[in-house]
Amino acid sequence: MLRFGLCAVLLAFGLSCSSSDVSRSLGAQCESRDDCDERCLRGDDYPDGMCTTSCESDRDCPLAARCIDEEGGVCMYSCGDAADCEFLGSGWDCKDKDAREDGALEVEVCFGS
Amino acid sequence: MLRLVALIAGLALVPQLAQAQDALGGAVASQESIVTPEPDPVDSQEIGVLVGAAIGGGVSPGGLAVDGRYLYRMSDHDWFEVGANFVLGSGDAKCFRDRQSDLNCPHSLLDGFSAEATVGLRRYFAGQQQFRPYARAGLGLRLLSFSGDELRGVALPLSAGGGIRVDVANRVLVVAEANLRGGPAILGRGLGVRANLGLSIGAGVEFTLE
Repeated sequence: MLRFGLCAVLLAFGLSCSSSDVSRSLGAQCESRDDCDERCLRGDDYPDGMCTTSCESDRDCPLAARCIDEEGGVCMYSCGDAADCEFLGSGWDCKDKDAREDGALEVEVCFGS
Repeated sequence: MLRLVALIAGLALVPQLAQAQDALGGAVASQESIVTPEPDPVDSQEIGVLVGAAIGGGVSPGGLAVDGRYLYRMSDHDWFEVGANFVLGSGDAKCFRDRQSDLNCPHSLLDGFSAEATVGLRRYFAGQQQFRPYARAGLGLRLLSFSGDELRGVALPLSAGGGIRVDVANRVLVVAEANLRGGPAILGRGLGVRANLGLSIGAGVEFTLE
């Protein structure tokens, strides 16, 4: 109820009340770099496009993301199973990927299935 | 004989009657000039400029606010206002599409640009010495733009607020004012109708016209 009330206030001001934590820096759909703060990843591995940021370690990413060794190092949402990636839409799964900082370490992140 | 006397008496009274009528007419005219004085043309118009800050957010622009206005006195307490208002904020891109492809535009409090034409009324209240508080209300037509997002729109906001004016010199008034603004806005990029809300505060100077 409190959340509904807060959303009503936010919507009255024209603000976003999205349930997910997507933003221009991580998670928003994109077709080009203009749709994002920094990078737009496209292709089968990123269904509907994925705004993200470059990184060298997890410290460069938001709390909900890990830095993986793809595309020169990018932040992707961390996950425990496929259900954690459902908010991204169809075509996403929870997969093991090499960590950017330590290539011997694998981390689970949302990635195109 | 009796008729002749009456005629002479009547002729003798005519000048006195005319004098009495002139005196009475003058008194009435004098009374009218007290009851309905001529409006003082000196203090019936003012122009002014205010500078301040507008707080927006979402799809409501905020930033530096510049306001120009013309005032016309309708009565001792009520003035008609016509104005133009500009808000200059950041042009950074903030909109994005969430995972359901819905456009979200979480602009900060100081983003965007707007240009607005307003008409309104200002009512003064009793003050002390050179200080006079007032309340105002108006209706505007507002063009909105968030250049970084290529987002534009039109709003019809009502505004209401108040302020105080201080006579600081001959024909020069210093004004401080705060206003709340709210109304519907129609925006592009599929956002449709959204609320356009904001708060502005400012201070400036107004000049009484000759």
